[in-house]
Amino acid sequence: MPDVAAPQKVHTVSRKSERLVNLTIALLATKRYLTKAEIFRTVAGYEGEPEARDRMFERDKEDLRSLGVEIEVGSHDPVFEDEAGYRIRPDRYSFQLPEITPTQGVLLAKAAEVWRDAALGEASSIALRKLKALGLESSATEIPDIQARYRDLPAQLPDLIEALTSRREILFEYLDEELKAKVRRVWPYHLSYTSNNWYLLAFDLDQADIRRFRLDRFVSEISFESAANEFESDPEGVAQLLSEIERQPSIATIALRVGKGINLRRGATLEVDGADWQTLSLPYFSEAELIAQILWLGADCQVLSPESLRDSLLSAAQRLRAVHV
Amino acid sequence: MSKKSGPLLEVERLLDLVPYLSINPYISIADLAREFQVSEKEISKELVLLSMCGLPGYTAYELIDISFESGFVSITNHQPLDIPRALNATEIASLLLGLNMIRESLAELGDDGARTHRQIVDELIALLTGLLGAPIEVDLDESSHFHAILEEAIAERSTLTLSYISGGQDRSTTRTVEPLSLDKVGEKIYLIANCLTSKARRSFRLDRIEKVERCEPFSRPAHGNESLDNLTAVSLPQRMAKLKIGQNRRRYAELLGSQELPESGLVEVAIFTQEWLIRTVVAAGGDIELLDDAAGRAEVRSWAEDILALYRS
Repeated sequence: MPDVAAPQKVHTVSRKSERLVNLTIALLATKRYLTKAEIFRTVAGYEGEPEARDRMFERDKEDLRSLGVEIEVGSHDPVFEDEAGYRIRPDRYSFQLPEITPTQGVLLAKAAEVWRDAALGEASSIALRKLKALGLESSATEIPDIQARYRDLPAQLPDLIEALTSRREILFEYLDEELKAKVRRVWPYHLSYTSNNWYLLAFDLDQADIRRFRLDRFVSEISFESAANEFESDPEGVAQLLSEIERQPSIATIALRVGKGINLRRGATLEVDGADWQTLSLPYFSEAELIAQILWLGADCQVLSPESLRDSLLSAAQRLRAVHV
Repeated sequence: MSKKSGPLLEVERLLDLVPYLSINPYISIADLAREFQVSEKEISKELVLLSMCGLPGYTAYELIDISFESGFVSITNHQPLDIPRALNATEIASLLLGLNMIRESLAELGDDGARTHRQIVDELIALLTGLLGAPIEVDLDESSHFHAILEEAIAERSTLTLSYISGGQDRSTTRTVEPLSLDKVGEKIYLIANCLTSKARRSFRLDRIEKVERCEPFSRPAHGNESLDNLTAVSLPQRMAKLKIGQNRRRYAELLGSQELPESGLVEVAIFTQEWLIRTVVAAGGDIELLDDAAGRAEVRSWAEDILALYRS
């Protein structure tokens, strides 16, 4: 019979897997906390010297936690400080959305399938497996096939999600403005996808301040530098930085030759019309980007105000001339 | 790295097999292997392993009872593992990101069915955001509004008419194109297409597309077509330009779609038109120097003089 074939060999190869599954079953089934001694006595696979068993058990707990299995530590009688015991609460172990409808299930399955071959492929296929174990009948919902719009997920994304949600300190190499790779050690606070890019807001431990990092400027893998719960997040600091990033735009007044600067006109308001030139007001966030756009148009566009923008543009034009003498 | 090791992935599969088998009785070994993305040999080995697990005591009464000798799997005595496991943070995040994308695609459809589904998606996003308990936000760019129609046209090989603002020529143009793919360079997303108007393969920045209209499906097969080869041939860049990038190197490397520049800052760039080259160098305001091209350098200098003259008058 194939289901009992060569058990001894399988037992040797997969002893660790078997022990972890048995430990999960024992801790899930118990109504009370099991002490370490009870676990060693009853759960299969804990053999050898006491110290080796202790180390084995510590590693097993950590491995199960890394799989998202939450092991609760407590004691039978806290007043008398009994030896610590362990259990897994079924409500913490089990799927968090037991009441979902078939349509919700189909939509979640679609959401998981979006990432089949991307950096989140492993996580989403396990999520899909768990959804299928709910036994939802696939209803005939007409949901279009979704293309993975940002299929090129940064390879670091799964690790960043892990670091963010478990509050672990991380280290990575990041390109500075002059393309030099610099080591950054941070506490990740906030992850977002905006303007076609992924951004991490994090407390930079060397700069002692919250900074924004663009994920396509990472040039190394993420290295975890601490266990979970290393820091408390700082929602107020994050909100302040986000409001600075999303602040009200500045307004420039520019003169444009009639019929020119067609791209610049898209966000602008016509203030004064004229035969050859028109005056427009134009909201902008980045001075450097606006200067590049105005220079692109050459002598078809002139900055009227603010003076600081005019001065920066003049210096850029002078630099341009000096470089090409 | 937080990559799971082989044994841990195996433990995950073992824990997930139990609820999956209890809800899908008599599934074939072949289907089960496909579902768990391992070989039939591997899944059979894991079923044997699972049959040796159970409650402490480990007698026949406590062990999980699995049989699959007929090629179909059945499981009994599977408590307490018969509940599907909780989603972890990365799994929740992957579902959330997928739901956000579905939400946008449904928004583009705009019919009643899509509206109902979008409402359900919104509810699921709220539920999962609550579960995640950490700030992960997705805000699809405005330029993505054309994404669905472009993706569809690429898949169906439909010709499109674009109203497009040409940066190089500083004017609005109408092009008929055969869309091929979408590509991201730096912060911008580009449509790569055969432009039938200019008879060349071109890239179009999505945020400069003003209007898109679907035309007929194009008849050319995907590969080995003579006319497409001709199109590729005429679309070859006219020449190479030599540039030296001084400061703000990251910015210009990203514009070129690269994470690297040589220490010297010297790069060669393929160019289609002289006007595009001059405007690119002028827009860099001295950060980029045009090399080995006396006429081009004189033109850049003249542009700089004209700009400065505006402010003297």
